[in-house]
Amino acid sequence: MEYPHLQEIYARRGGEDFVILSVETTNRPALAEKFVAEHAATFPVLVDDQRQMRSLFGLKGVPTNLLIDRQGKIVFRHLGFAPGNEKMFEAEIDFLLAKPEGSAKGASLS
Amino acid sequence: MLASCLDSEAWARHKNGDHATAAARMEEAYAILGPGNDEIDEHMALIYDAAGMDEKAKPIYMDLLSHMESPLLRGNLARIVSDGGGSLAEIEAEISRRRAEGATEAPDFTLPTLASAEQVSLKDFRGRVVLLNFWHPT
Repeated sequence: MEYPHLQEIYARRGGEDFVILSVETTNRPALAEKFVAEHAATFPVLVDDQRQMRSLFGLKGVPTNLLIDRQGKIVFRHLGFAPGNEKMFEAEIDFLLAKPEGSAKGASLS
Repeated sequence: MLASCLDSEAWARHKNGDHATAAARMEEAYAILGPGNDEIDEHMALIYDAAGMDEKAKPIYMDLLSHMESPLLRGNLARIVSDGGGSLAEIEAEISRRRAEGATEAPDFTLPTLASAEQVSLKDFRGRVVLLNFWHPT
């Protein structure tokens, strides 16, 4: 489950440069609230009250995690979550944070 | 199922240091599945790399890094490129180019928060890097 990892990442990096938005896709607020409280998540959790996200984002399943750059472009897209994926998310966040605004150039390879 | 058995066997051989057999098994799995499965692609690249088949590992590392970030894969690719006397800067530019090419505009949306029913839009966060997570409670 990715929630504990998301909370860790958010606690370390959340702020003016980075945010996590978490969308509950089945519009079950009571269940969602319980779950979010259990994981002490402090990032914004949104409710897909019209159940429109699946078609809007072409989701093939959940969890899906999208990494969006400062210009609003989806650069990385991941279906499913396996232990260790949190390291990949962090590396991707670093890549996007290092990318100068308005440029396609990324972080250094070496 | 056959492909995942081949993948498992290949990975076990790889872990035991039998890289040539691992590469042969993995190629059989790859012939069935084709590219596009991140985990299988990663296994194929790592096994080619361990077997010393750098020229076969390199394009798979490139494809993977075009849509995901991984310090392990990045480090391995950098090593292969350096060993082959290639240019790291060129490879880096190519990966960035492919990432920019593959990037798509995120559609905007406005949804209520769970905590307060306050409305939040994705565009409110323009200028920040966003991890947008979709889930449902189990």
